[in-house]
Amino acid sequence: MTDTATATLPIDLGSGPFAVTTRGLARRFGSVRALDGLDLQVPEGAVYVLVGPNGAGKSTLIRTLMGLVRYQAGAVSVLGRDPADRGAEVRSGIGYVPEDYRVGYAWMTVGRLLEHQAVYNPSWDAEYARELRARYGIDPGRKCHALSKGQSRRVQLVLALAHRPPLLLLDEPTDGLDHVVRDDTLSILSEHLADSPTTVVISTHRVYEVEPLVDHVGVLSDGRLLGQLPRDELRGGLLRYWADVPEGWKGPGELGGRVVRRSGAARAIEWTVWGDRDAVTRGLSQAGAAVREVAPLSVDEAAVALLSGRKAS
Amino acid sequence: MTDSKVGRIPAMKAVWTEQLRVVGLAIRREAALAALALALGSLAVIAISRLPVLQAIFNEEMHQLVFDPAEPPWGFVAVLAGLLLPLVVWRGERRFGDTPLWSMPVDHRRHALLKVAAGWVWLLAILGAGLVCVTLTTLTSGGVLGVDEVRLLVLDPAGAAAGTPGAVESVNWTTPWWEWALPFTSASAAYLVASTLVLATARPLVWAVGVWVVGMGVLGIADLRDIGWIERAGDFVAWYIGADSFTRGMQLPTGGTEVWTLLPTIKMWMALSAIWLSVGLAGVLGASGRARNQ
Repeated sequence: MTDTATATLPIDLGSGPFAVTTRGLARRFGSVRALDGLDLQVPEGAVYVLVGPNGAGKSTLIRTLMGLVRYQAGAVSVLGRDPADRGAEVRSGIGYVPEDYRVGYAWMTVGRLLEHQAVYNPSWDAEYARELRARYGIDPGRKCHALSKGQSRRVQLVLALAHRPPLLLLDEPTDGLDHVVRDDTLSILSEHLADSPTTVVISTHRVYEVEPLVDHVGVLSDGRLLGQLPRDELRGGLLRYWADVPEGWKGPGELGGRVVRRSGAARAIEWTVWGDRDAVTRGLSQAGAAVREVAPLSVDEAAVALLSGRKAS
Repeated sequence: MTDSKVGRIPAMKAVWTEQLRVVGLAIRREAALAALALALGSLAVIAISRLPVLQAIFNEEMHQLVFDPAEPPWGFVAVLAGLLLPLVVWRGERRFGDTPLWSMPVDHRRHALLKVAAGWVWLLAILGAGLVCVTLTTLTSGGVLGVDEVRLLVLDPAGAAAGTPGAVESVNWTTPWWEWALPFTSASAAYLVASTLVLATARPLVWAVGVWVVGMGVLGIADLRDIGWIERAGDFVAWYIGADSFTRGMQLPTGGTEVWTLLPTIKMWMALSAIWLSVGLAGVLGASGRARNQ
């Protein structure tokens, strides 16, 4: 279970309802702890972005939620079921885009692959699949092995969306897409979310690409959550303070918040602090610092601050 | 999250039918090549049997096809097909990764077994088609189906191997009906064993070659060092439960007539089929669970 003392930001999202929860989730690969007592909470209907550097455990977590990796300790609930015991039922409610961009079988045509997927998903919306395919400009006669990385990603998205699942697990969905296709993908995803009530978990290390969609954020490092909270709460609570300080300044005694990151040179300092804005400003002023500016962070900047602060500590 | 929000699981009948189709598509290139080779071979046999010009070129043995399904090369071809087919059936499946198969809303073990079963159905269909083709070719070319001969059965196999056959018994032998089923059972057992390797290991060919090399090495060392029990174990596997069980015909070291150390019986066929099919099935059942335990 995540020790709240080790989490820099809050990780408890309250009482739900949640589409996905894990408690004390752990998985090792040899001596490597891929997931180390993880408490994930994804509210129903949320677009939850899981941010973390490569190797943080994002893909292992998503594959565990899919029932593709067995966990060794803890508990998992996806759509009310444990994927280790009822994997088939869980996967029937998931649209999955794996990190691996290879799609289907190399020898299969895209059209046949869509038919194949339709057999496995009784709720497959053939009309919607055709519409998505046309919008993405996917040639159904093309062999899967002949698809570029970007085309493969688009086919994977069609496969994930066309049965209108209640949960989407997207592992680095914009990886390999050029700007135009990425924007198109995000707009298709937005329209899909507006059209179908869906919970989305997006794992990425390039959060700025999906930031407009996101309403919840989880920051993962070394298999542990550093924080998990609504985006608005993150923007309101994690702020960057620029201040001028006197010569030989020792820093404030009590700041009224948790310092995530500090930087700066000479008499100009830049602090990223989680806490009440007024209390932190007051704490800095009382310690002799002249606060020049306070600004919220984007999700991407917040993730960078949390992850680099963790490394520095 | 309420139950109604989970999607519906596909019907097993639909998954089974789809796997039959997908496996059929996966193996179509190799099946077409085998069909082409068989067609060309059949044409050649028929041509030789009909055209004196060709008969003058080929030796007399090739003028008339004798088709006995238990005799080489037919049994060997069937076993080879069974051994190689799983590699084609599972081609393109990232068995230890995010394969399309594991991502589908079907229990992993059940899904793996359905795929293996689909490949097995295709194997039987291919063997059946091959058997019909060779049978028709044999009949069309004036060949002989099965054998009807007198076999010399040695009563002292060890002496025969040493060149002193001792007493022999003449036995009238006609290919029994169950030998026509032998290619199917031996190929099925080979297919299941090979499927086990494919499901359980990331590099099945390396494992297969490795096991064979180690086995041959151990037998070689046993022969050099005269380790009797290993040699006897090797002989037991080869002669009593292995591929040589049904082809115990041997040429005496002194040359001359072929003698037989044992004539196969229906009981042998049933017992060996049961042993190897059980080994293969147990292997597949065990290995199919591995995918969900990554």
